[in-house]
Amino acid sequence: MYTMIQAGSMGVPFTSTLGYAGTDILERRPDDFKIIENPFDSQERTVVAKAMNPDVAIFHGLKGDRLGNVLVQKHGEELLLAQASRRVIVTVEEIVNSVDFEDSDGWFIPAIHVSAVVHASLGAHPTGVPGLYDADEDRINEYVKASGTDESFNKYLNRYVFEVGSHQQYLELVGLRPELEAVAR
Amino acid sequence: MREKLVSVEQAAQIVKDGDHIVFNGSMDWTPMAMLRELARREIRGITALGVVGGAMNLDFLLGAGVADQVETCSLGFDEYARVAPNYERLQKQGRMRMLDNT
Repeated sequence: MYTMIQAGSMGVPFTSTLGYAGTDILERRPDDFKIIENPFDSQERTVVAKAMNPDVAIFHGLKGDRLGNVLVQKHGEELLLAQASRRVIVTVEEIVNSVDFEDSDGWFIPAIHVSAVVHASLGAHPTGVPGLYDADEDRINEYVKASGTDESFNKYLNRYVFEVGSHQQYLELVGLRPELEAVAR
Repeated sequence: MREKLVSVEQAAQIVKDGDHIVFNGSMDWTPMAMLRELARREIRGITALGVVGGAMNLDFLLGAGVADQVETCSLGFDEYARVAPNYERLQKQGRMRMLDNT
């Protein structure tokens, strides 16, 4: 899948990969995977997989500016996903005057790959952002417990999603205030 | 240069029913504020892709009825659960489609 996204990011129609050889994915998904002859060596055959260009990529990052330049976690796949996708939404902990591509706090994604930047302090809650805030273990355990049945998860959704109209109201519900909770950076 | 700073609500309008949405594979950094807004807007028919792997991102969209198909290589939940819990329930009940893709 990674190489399919990689192909999508490069604008080429498919990728040659050996990762699927011998699996039943080839039989089950003939529209996405095929075995072809190596055009450079007729003795060899290889798996090819269709390039992936998702409609949308969504991820959370550290900083963004009004033009759409963002700084995201280091060592992640975000840049590749942004390059492969048609539309890209990045929520960020803070909006700054200008995101500098030399900022060492994270990895830079230039505005050309970003459709929308959204300011969402504590936007990953109840999951965490390493270096800024920890995962909220109690709330994640509550989510897991609620996931047991439709009824209990619907209750969870009512409480944390539908009965709060906005991200700000969500933060108030869980007792967080961005200006106090996010540590100085 | 075009101004790209928008509200959560405005950004959610970029997403249409039936879209394929891709996410990274980590539990940390899950764009939950955005995902809760997609649930509020009752977006439907989403295929959620996890590269590489998925966690609360894919699981939340399944649980909220926003996604009915996921494509990824694994769907974990860090130390909190053996398998992403909404995925486990909905898959066992045959109410969603999982495409295995490493």
